[in-house]
Amino acid sequence: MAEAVTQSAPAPATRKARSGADLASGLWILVVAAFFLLPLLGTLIFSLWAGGSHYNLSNYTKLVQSPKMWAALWLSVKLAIYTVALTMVLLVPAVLFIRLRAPWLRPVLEVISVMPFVIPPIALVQGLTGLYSVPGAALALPVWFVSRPEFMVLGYVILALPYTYRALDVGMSALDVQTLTQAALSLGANWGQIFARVIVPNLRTAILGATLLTFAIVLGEFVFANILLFNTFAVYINYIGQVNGTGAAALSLFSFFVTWVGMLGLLAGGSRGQVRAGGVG
Amino acid sequence: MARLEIRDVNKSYGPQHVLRDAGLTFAEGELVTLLGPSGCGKTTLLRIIAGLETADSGAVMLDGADISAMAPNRRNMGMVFQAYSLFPNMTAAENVAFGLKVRRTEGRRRAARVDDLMELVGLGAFRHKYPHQLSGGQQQRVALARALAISPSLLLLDEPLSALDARVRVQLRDEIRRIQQETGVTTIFVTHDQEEALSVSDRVAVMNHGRIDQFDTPQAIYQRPATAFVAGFIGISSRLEGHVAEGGVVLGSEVLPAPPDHGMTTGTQVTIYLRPEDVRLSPMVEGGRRGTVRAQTFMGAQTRVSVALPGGAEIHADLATPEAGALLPGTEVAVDWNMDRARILPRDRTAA
Repeated sequence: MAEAVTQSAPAPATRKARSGADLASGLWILVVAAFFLLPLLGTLIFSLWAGGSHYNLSNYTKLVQSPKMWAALWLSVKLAIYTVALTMVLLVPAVLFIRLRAPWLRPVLEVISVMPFVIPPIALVQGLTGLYSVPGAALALPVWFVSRPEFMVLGYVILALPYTYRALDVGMSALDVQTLTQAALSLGANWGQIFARVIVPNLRTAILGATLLTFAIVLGEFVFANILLFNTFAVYINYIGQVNGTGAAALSLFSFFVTWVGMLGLLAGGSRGQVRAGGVG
Repeated sequence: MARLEIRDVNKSYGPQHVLRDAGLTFAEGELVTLLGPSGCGKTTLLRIIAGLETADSGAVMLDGADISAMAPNRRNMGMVFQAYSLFPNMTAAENVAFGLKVRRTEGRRRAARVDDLMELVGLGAFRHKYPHQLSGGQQQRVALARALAISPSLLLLDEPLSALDARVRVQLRDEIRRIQQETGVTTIFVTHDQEEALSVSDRVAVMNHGRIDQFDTPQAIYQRPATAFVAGFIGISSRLEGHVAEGGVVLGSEVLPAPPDHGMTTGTQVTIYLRPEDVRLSPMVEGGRRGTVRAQTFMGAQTRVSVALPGGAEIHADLATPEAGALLPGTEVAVDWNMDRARILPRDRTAA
């Protein structure tokens, strides 16, 4: 459409070819949109179904009024926040120091970061339990910690690693961290100041990306919580699904909505005041 | 302002010996250039002074105190890097203020200092621009202001001009010299460009394979290069091989007068270095030293004419371009030079 306005009178042949291409790409977009949207639409209709030919919002009102749902959601959000915090504290300095001091370790970290793709969560949670929470295990942690849902954060950090590591690594490769840290050092900054004023502000977009993905992963994570018997949001969805089919559909859409609002909020916050590295030459 | 002394600094990276017994003493307020080809150790030496690298042995002394083990963020040295190094998340003024902020300089004094420095580098109007909105030359100016803001004991410039295009390079080079003289800050400037080094420095240290071959004023370096390497690197392109005899230097079949104080024993193999502007070419006359024009290189106002001598040596002469017009390749010319302005050095087999 825009093309037709900006380009003055294309030859009829080109115009024909173009409209053909437009039609094809339009159709293609329609197919893709249908692929993603039809299941959502189906879920929406099913979630509104109240038996027979009745449709209403009762599933949603029940949902919003359920304290169990809010407790599960809050637990998952809390775990996501802890996961993000622990990931950032561990990973930002690690990625930075590997770039500055130990570039030969980069391939190692890269391989480690994709491990969660290879190791199924079920194996991961068993390993985690065996290593940390069996009494007398090599790295046994105190029982008060192991028995709390926060214990799962250790596993979530690993689960999110493929996404968080990549986001930070890409963010850092857009910066000349070597020169920037040396410049800050020569100006008298200590490492705390370098992190707070130079590295983190310039990794803002990368950190936001990593945060988003971590939230999405933790909110949807089922295996860990189900095996360790914690009632997170994903476990609650599954439970509702078994006792109330239409209620589960409503809950799925609700969680979809929560995730999207969160993502859009982060994106809006992130793109404002976004910084670009480098110069105009 | 400070007095810096470098004592016998050595540095190796694995088997590679980057600095060998490098020693230099800097006077207060002077601009010293470390000049040499890439890989000669000049940047490593600068980074050792800044504390970004540590020497294997030797010492860096500032005002008589050994600072070799001091952390870089405690040395109070301003540094400008070859790569653009402004913090992309801060405006030009915030970049300049950074060093003062980490020092907790009081707000009003900090703002005044930032304003002064932005004016000093001629970017008062660009205070609120982000680095990506500035040209390369402007970014390096801001980097210079940022380095000066902390009132450094030393200003370290690590090839700050090499990423810039030729015109901006010359302009900023002159400006660096002006600002250095205005502020009186002791400055160490690293470059591989001999023209840059000769034009801005009080003294130049020419480095070769981790050693300091010569440390002297630009004039002395140009007129009396201490080694074959310095002579070559500084752009003295003509070399003639001969040996020392009674009363002068034997070159082929002729004996050329040599300055009496050359201090070399008879029979020493020597190389005579001639600057291209000291070589004269004239129409061939009876008894003159014969040469054949081999090629011309047009350089604008001047043209460099390469002339082959009968012995096979090649000699270069810079002539005003109109004069060079008649000297087409193949022309026979008389070649002459003033032996007083030639440099005679014992032959260095290692020099390229």
